[in-house]
Parts: sequence; structure tokens; C-alpha cells
Amino acid sequence: MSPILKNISVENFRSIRGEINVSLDAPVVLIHGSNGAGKTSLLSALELALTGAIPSLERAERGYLEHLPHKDAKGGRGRIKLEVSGLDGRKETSLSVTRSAIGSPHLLDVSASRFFSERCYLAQSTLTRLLELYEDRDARRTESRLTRFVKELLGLDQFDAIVDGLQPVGDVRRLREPAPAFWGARQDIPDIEQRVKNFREEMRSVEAEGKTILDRLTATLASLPQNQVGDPIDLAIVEKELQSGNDETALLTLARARRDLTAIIEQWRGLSTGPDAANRESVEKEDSAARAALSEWKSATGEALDGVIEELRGWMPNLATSDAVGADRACAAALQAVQAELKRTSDLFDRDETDAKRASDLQRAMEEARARGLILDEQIADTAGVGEGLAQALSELASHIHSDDCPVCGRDFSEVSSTPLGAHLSVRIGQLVEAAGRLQALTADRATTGASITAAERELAVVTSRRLAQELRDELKAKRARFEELRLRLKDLQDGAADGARLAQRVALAARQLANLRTNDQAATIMRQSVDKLAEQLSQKHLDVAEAVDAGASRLQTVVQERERVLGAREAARRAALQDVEELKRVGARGDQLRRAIDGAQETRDSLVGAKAEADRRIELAKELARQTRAVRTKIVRRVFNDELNAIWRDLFVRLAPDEPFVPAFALPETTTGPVEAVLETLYRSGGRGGNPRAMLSAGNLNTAALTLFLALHLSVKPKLPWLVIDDPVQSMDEVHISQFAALLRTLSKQMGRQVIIAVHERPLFDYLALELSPAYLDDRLITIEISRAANEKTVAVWNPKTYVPDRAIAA
Amino acid sequence: MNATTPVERVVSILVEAKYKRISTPLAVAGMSFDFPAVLIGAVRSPDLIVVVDAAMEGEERIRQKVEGLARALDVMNSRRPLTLIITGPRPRGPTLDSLSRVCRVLSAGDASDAPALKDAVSVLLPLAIPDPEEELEEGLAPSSDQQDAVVDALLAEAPGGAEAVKARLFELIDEPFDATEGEP
Repeated sequence: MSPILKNISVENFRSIRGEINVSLDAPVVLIHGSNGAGKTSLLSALELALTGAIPSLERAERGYLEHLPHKDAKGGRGRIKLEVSGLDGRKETSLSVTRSAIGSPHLLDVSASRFFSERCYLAQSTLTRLLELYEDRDARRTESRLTRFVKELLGLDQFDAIVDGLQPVGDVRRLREPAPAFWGARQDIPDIEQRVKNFREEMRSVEAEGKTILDRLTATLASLPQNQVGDPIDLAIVEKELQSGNDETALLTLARARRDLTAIIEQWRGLSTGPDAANRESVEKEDSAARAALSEWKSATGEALDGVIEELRGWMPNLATSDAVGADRACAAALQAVQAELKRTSDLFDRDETDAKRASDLQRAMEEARARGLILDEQIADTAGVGEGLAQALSELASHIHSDDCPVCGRDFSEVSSTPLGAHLSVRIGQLVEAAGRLQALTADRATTGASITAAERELAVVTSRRLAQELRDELKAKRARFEELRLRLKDLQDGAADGARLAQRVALAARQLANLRTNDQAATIMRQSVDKLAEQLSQKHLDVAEAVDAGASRLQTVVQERERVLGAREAARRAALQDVEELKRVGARGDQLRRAIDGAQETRDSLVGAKAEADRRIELAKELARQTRAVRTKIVRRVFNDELNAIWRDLFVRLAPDEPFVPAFALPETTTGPVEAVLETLYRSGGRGGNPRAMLSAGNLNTAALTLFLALHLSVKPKLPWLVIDDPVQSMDEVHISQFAALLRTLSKQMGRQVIIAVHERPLFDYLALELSPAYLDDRLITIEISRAANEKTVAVWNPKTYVPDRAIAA
Repeated sequence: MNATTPVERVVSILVEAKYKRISTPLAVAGMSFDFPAVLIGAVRSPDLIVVVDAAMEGEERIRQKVEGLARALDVMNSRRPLTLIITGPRPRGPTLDSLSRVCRVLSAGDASDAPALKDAVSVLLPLAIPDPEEELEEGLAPSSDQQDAVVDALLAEAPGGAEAVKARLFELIDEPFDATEGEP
């Protein structure tokens, strides 16, 4: 008994509000309802109860669960009850649907669910996609819409996801960006290995260098007195030894000795350039000769000179003696002093004479002035009594004289004189003024004369006081005479004094030379002592009596130089050894560093190699997985898109579009390895290829082609479930096609034994199909379901079974 | 094909397909309709098929007769679907349209080419389904007994699409290097 869908009850699911309960127990179930009434809800409830999912909704919206319960459902819960017969196992299920979960259990197992969703149920949305198949292939896209549809329908998209997703492993270069660690390791491993190699090479050269230095150091050490170096050589000990045992002090001493010797030789040479022993005798002779000459001079000229100077010192005690400044200078100084004294003396005499003459002149002038004064006094006495005041009073009176009447006495002047009174007065005033002037001049003259007498008296007093006393004048005269004599004596002595000075100079020179000779003798003795001391220091023998100082010093210098050479060489060797020790330390440190670097790099490399091996293994796994998946996919595609499919498709298409000269077909994949690409083409019915269906077929026939493709896919496999659920397939088929479609549905139901459930929204189509799919024989049955909405918005589903009625028109 | 007329050729195919030729003229609701051939479905099929030859009859006449038959069937409340097969020249469009309103119309032409004739009437013929393939294999099953965790991880991403698989793949490839952090 083949499986049959029996009964479905749907409550508050999607657009169905309230509960509907319909029977599906018929070979053909025809559902009608206007758009939005709940046809698709009913069919998706059927799918959900069978498979536990609604892939067609899921494709449209991943969060479709949320919209499954009706929005007004109590507690946000919907319920579906389905009864099925003829299935193994379950017969009935009742599952609740909330906004977040779908209850269990659904009726079909996994593979049956797949079959149902892929090959039994043509959802409206899927059909819409089917219609898109025929759109032109977009050259930029790798997949045609048809390919995508077919893949989704058959679940091939997951295979493709694996194959496409694993595509990068085909070529390592594609991993460069997305898998940087892996790509980096591919580069890094050889890099690190190269680095290790370089480190090793450097290590070798460092070791060789160390060996060379060590050999050199060993050789150097052998030449040095210290030998506690350890075996093998212990650098710390060697370094300590080398630092402690140095010859610096000895070298310093030697250097000092050498310096001293050089100085002595130098000094000695300085001495040898002075007066030598041969000269000594002549020097001494000269000395005594000079002294004799000087003494002779002193007894003659010298004595005379000293006498003169001694006498002069009686007047001028500051005068230098010949012993103090030398004869010539003493003589010159004395002469100068004498001449200066002579000049002073004669000056004194000259001024005294001038003063005497002036005094007599002054006395005579005074006599004359006194006589004139007396005369002036007499004249002043004569003029006295005439006053200037009277002249002034009279001139004031003049303005009061208008006639000859005197304003004073009132008498008429004409009586006295014929001269008018005014004229008389003015003459009188003139006489008075003249007398006053004369008196004034006389008085002034008298005063001047008195003053000049006083001045002459004063000057006379000064001149008189300045005049030398008589005894002083005599003394000066005597002194002037004596000095004149001394001056002449000194003049005579001048040449002799020069001789004396020269003699004194000669004596001084000889004495100096003698003194030098004596100093040299002392220095030589000190030098000999120094050389002897150095010889002792250097453990050499003293100076021989006959040996010159410089010769002995040279001998010692040679010794010092020799010792310095030896010690210097040893010191240089020690320094070189110390340097080698430092070098060895450096080389050793570098060696350690390299060893550590090598170990580190080696470790990194090992871990990278390990990780890369694992990554490579994974890549291989991925490759293998991709290969297997590709193989399975290819197998499936070849099974699906085969000649049978094309044959069935053609048959179905021709039934619905008998007048169409073209039929659609899949171009079959020709190789097993190529990509899965189902390409649509059209064929002439009579044979030969046509073009793309979109170009070749009318819109109605395109719809037909899509619908028949689904039916062909259903028919081309063994029917696991003999059900065909089609949701509103007829949108734009013309009437011819509808009648053919009805016939085809009948064939599917009656001949192929499929339980057909079909929903339509057009009333005429529903009526037509109801007629065409009427039961044709006993036990055949048609159920029509009409879904609508009541006034209270609740969904109402009326189902109506139609049974066989024998035809009365034409007997079979 | 032995038949000499198109009508006979059509009839022979239909008979072969288990349709039964009934005698003419056909009497329905007391009226008589004369057609070159009339067939009814024999097995589980209520089809009533009328075959006419447009070369022999005027298309107007054919239309009148077919419409009459359809009305008679309606009167009798018959549920038999009526199919008209027209051989000979194809009628004009308006005629075909009015015919289509009352029955299924198949145009068979001169029915001289057997495959073409079959195509023309194929909707009446049973489906010839080749032996269907065995069931398809189930989903992704490239599995072995010791399947690596890496493979499982990749397969788990398949529903998410190629990009998800790719992202996981890159993660898996780089994963072993996590331990070897950083450059030496």
C-alpha cells in the first residue's frame, strides 16, 4: 500500500487563524482560495509536519521561524496535526510551533524529508525561481540561475561550498594573503636554515681565529718569565700573572738614569767650552800685571785727583770719590761741580752791582718829587675858598633874574655897571667853575706825587736789604779765586783719570776670569760624583782617574740602553699577551653568542617545520576532501542530468505545449571532472539545436518549461513518496495549456498513481480542474477544499469529497 | 502505419493507447453527432475524443457540431472531458479560440509524420517513464572510519556556504603556527 496523506489539522499557523481541519484522503486534492486566504500556509504546514522544516521559506528568510505562528495566536503557539497512512512507522503527528522552535516529531526521516522537499513539493516561491531560470546567463557570474536552482533543489550547494571553499588549497600561492602564518613559514624556514648555516660558518671562522690567537699567546708566554698559566691555559690566571709582573718601575728607573747621564754629558760639554787649564797661567799673569799698573797710577795721578776731590768735598760733601765711581767719572763730576759753583758766584756778584746802582737812582728821584710836592701845596692854598657850591647856587639864581634888579639885594645893577645883571652873573659863574677845575687838578697831582714817593721809598728798602754784606762779599771773592784754580787743576787731570778707569777695568776682567776658572773646577768634581753614584746604581765600576766624565757617562749610557731594550721587549711581549687574552675573551663570548643563536634558530626552525608539516597535512586532507566531494557531486549531477531526465522533460513539455516547435533540454556535462554546469538549450522537435529557451520560447511556454522541469525531476527517480504537492502553478498559462495541464495532472494521478495536491487561486481554473479531475471510476475520489475568511477574520476551510458518478451521456 | 487517412492514423495511435473507438454517429441527450471518429477512455479515463478532418469538412461546420456536442454533454451533466483532434489544415485562429472554450483542441496536421503525430496527441497518451534511477545518495558522505577532525570541521561549515568553508580552511591552516608565535 502506497503512502497516502490522510488528514491535516492546522491551528494558528502563518496566515491561518483559528483551526481548520481538512481531509486529504483522495488521489487528487484541489484547493482553492483567493490570494492570502491560506493556501500556501496549509501546504507549508504539510511540509513542516512531514519534514520538520520549510526549506522554501528558509531560503527566503533565515529567521522564518519567528513568523510561523499566527500573529494573534494565543501564547504565540501554533499547532499542526497530520495523519498519514502507508508509511512505515509513524502514522500521525501533532507538533506545536512557537516563534522560536518547531516541536517534534515530524513524520519523515532525513532522506525522505529531502526527497519530499526536493522532488514532491513545488512551493510557489520555488516555481518563481524556476521561472528565473531562463533569464540570460550573466557572464560575470560563475553560476547560472538554473545551476543555482538545481543545486539548491538537490542540496548540491553544500557540495559546492566545500569544493569552492577548498579551492585555495589547489595552489599554495592563493594562501599567501589569507593564511599569513603558513605562507610566512614557507619563507621563514629556508631563511632560518640559511641563517643557521651562516652562523655555523661564522662559528668556524671564530674558532679558527681563537686557535690562532691561543697559539700566539702560548708562544708569547713561553718568552716571559712567569709561567703559571695552567694547562690548558686558564685565561683568568694568565691575565692576573701578566698584570702583576710588569717591569714598569725598572724601566722608569732606567729612564731616569738615562736622562741624568744625558744631562751630565751635556753639562760637561758646556764646561769644556770655558777657559781651559792652559789659559789659567796667562790669566793670572794678566791679573798681577793689571794690579801693578793700577797701583802705579794710583800713587801718581790718582793721589792728585783724590786730593782735589777731597778739598772740594770740604764745600760739597756729596761729591763722589774716585774709589766709589772710578777715576774718570769722579773727575768729570768734580769738574762739573766746580764750574757750577763758579757760575753761581759770578751771578751773585753781578746782581749786587745792579742793586747798588738802582738804590742811588731811587734816592735822587725821591728828592725831586718832594720838591714838586711843596710847590703844589702852595698853589692849592691859593685857590682854596672858591667853592663849586657857590657856582651852582648862582646858576640856580640865574632863572630869577629878569632885569637888572638883583633878586638878592633888590638893588638895580645898572646903577653899578653898564653890563646887564644876567651877563654879569654868567661871567661870575664861569670864573667860579674854572677856579674849581684848577683846584681839582692840583689836588690830584699832589696825591700822585705823594704816591710815587712812597713807591720809591718801598723799592729802595727792598734793594737795600738785598745787597750783600761786605764780609760775605769778600769771602765770595776768595772762594771764586780758589775754585778757578781747582778748575784748571781738574782740567789737567782729566786724561789721567781716564787712564785710571781703564786700568781698573782691566783688573776687574782678570779677576772675573780667575773666579770662573775656580767655579768650573768645583762643577767637574760634582759631576764625577754623580757619575760614580749612577755607576753604583747600575752596578758598574766607578770612573777611572784617567777616565773623562763624558766618556764614563757614555759607557753607563750604553749599559742603560741595553737594559732598557731588554726590559722594553719584555714589556711589549707582555702587552701583546694581554691583548691576546682580551681577544680570546672576545672570541669566546662571540662563540657563546653564536652557539645560543644557533640553538634558538634551530628550535624555531624545528617548531616551524613541525607546524608546517601539520598544515601541509591539513592541506592534503582538504585537497582529498575537495576531490572526493567533487567526485560525489559529479556523480550526482550525472545521475540527475541524464538522458532520461531530458526524455521525460520533453514528453511533459510537449504534452503542455503541443504546438511549440522547440523543446527545452539540458546540455549534459560531457566530462566527469569538469565543473557542474547545467546549461539549458532548446532542441527542434525534429532534431537539431535551437537557442537559449528565453530567446526561443514564449512566456507561457517558459512557465510550462519550468513546471515540467519540476515534474520531470520528480518522475526521473524512483518515487520514494508518491506525492505531488503543487502550490498555485498556473499564473500565466493560456487556456490551451490549462486544458493540457489538467490532462497531465489526470495522467499523473490515474496512470502514475501519484497523490496530487494542487492549490489554485483562479476560480475558473478551479472549476475547470474540478471537472477535468472528476473521479473516473469507482473508488476514485476528488476532494476540493475552499479556504476563505469569515467575518471575524477566522480562517474557514470547507472540504468536499466528490465521488464517482457513472456517466449517463455516453455509455462506456 | 497502414491507415490511409489522417483520421485513421490518429485513431490507430489512440487505440494503441487503450482508447476505445465507439460507433458513430454519436448519440447524446437524444441528439446525433456525426464525426469521422469518436473514442472514449477505456481504463480509468473518462475522456471523450472526437477526431475530425478539416480537409473534408468546413471549419464552421466542425465548430457547430463540436459546440453542439459540448452543450449536449452539459445537459447530461456529463463529467467527461472533451478533446477535439483536428487533422488536415489548421483552422483559423478565431475558430480555434471558440473551440478551445468548449473543449481541448489538438491540432494534428496531416498526421503523416509518426513522431510529430505522437507529439500532437501526447497529452492523451500514457506517460512513458523509463526505469527510474535508484535513489540518490544521501548528502555529503565522503566519510571514512577514521575521519580527521579537520575534515569534520570543514564539513560542518558547508551549510554556511563557500566563504564560511574558506574562512575555516584558512584558520585550520594557520592554526598549527599559533604555538610558534613570532619571528625568531
